[in-house]
Amino acid sequence: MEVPGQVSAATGPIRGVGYAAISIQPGKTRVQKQLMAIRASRLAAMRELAEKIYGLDINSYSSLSETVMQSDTLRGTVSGLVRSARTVSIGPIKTDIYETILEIDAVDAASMTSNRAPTPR
Amino acid sequence: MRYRFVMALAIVSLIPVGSADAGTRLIHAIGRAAVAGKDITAARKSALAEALYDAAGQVRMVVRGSSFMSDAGAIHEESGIAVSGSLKGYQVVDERREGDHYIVSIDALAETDDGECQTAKKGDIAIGGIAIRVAPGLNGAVERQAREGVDALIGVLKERPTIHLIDDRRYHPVARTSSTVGQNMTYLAALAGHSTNPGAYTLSGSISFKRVHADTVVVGESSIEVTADLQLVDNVSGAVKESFSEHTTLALDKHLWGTSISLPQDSETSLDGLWQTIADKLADHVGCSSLRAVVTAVSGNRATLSAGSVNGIKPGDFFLVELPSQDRNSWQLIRVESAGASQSVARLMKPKPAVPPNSVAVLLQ
Repeated sequence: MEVPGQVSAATGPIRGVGYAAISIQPGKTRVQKQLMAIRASRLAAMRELAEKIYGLDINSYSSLSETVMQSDTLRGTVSGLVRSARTVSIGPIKTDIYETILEIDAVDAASMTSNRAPTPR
Repeated sequence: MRYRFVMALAIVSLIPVGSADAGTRLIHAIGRAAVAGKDITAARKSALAEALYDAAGQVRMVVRGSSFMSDAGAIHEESGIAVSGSLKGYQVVDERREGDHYIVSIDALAETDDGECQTAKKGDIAIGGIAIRVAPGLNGAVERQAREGVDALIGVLKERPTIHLIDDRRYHPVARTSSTVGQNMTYLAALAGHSTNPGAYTLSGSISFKRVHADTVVVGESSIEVTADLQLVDNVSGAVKESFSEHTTLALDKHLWGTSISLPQDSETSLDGLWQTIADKLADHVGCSSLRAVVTAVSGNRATLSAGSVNGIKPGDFFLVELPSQDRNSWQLIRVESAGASQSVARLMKPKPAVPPNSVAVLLQ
């Protein structure tokens, strides 16, 4: 079983998938927006990969006043060094969405987590 | 598949081809870009830039991300990724148009600074002439320990997972009383079909045993100082890669002055610690460097390498040959097709440049 932050060399490859919409990207032409979407989906995939390798640090704050809920916030942060992530595929999956799939061998991920503890902030 | 060299783009740093001693990795990367109108050239450049970014990201990228959710609804998400890989060079191995996209695949050579010591490969160390010098008058047990010292060191080195040991002592005489001895050894090596592994490092030097007295007014103490002065010589260049001088002290005798009452000594009672220290240093220098081999012969697009299965080489391994030139792409990739015990046959992956015999090939991660 894949446990974020406790990657074992015995598990299979770890995959990160990222998506990005084309139409909301900055750019004067559609091609520029497509390029931005490709990059954005890659970054999203990298982030998911980092989350799977190092785990996610969750901080939550809820406040009550007079037994009435005032606010409820939740912050999740991820931070880590990733090496040897290879691109499995990049491509449009619908007319307006790009998908990027990255992959890293569990052995490499295990070595990264053993060499350096995750430092989420 | 076609091989075609392209101009460097500024998206990642392409550093000059340097020493092959640093870790080098072969990275396969893919880039994709949309084709605007009929502007294939621009799409190709963008796809190549993406591929280089992909390659650099495989070397090193630092990811930081933050998600914020407030009052059970509004989500704000930020991600930052810093990519900082250094590529020695690259080649485009495939490029094609798929609908309104252009795709470029590259093989890039990247500098790495980690993981070398975790390799499953074994670097060659040949044991050359190691002289044993024993001070006269030492007792038989000590003298035997001295004489068997090199064998003990070899035993320790053989247990190291990153070292492949070659015992060449018989071809490296340590007591050359005349030039005839050396000539005879050369003749003997020729008769036996022996040749020094060109890609190995040769360990030679001396191990000396001296009696040391440390008497005081009340205590008479004597011990044996053991000094190993060893050199690791690069067979390719003939240069001394590393010199070691390790010492230890063996307990011999400690007694009350003028009596036969023995006292305990703090010194070592065996040389095991010394051999372990030397083995550690050798493993650091050889085991943590990239495995290398020498191209002993070239025929067409096939090259013979001086490393084989005893070094952990297996079919599918890649070697890099860097050739002296100002050209950034003066390197050749060779892929091992079959591995014998101490030699392997590999195929040149690029039509150019040609690889001359005696070139040094470095294993890629």
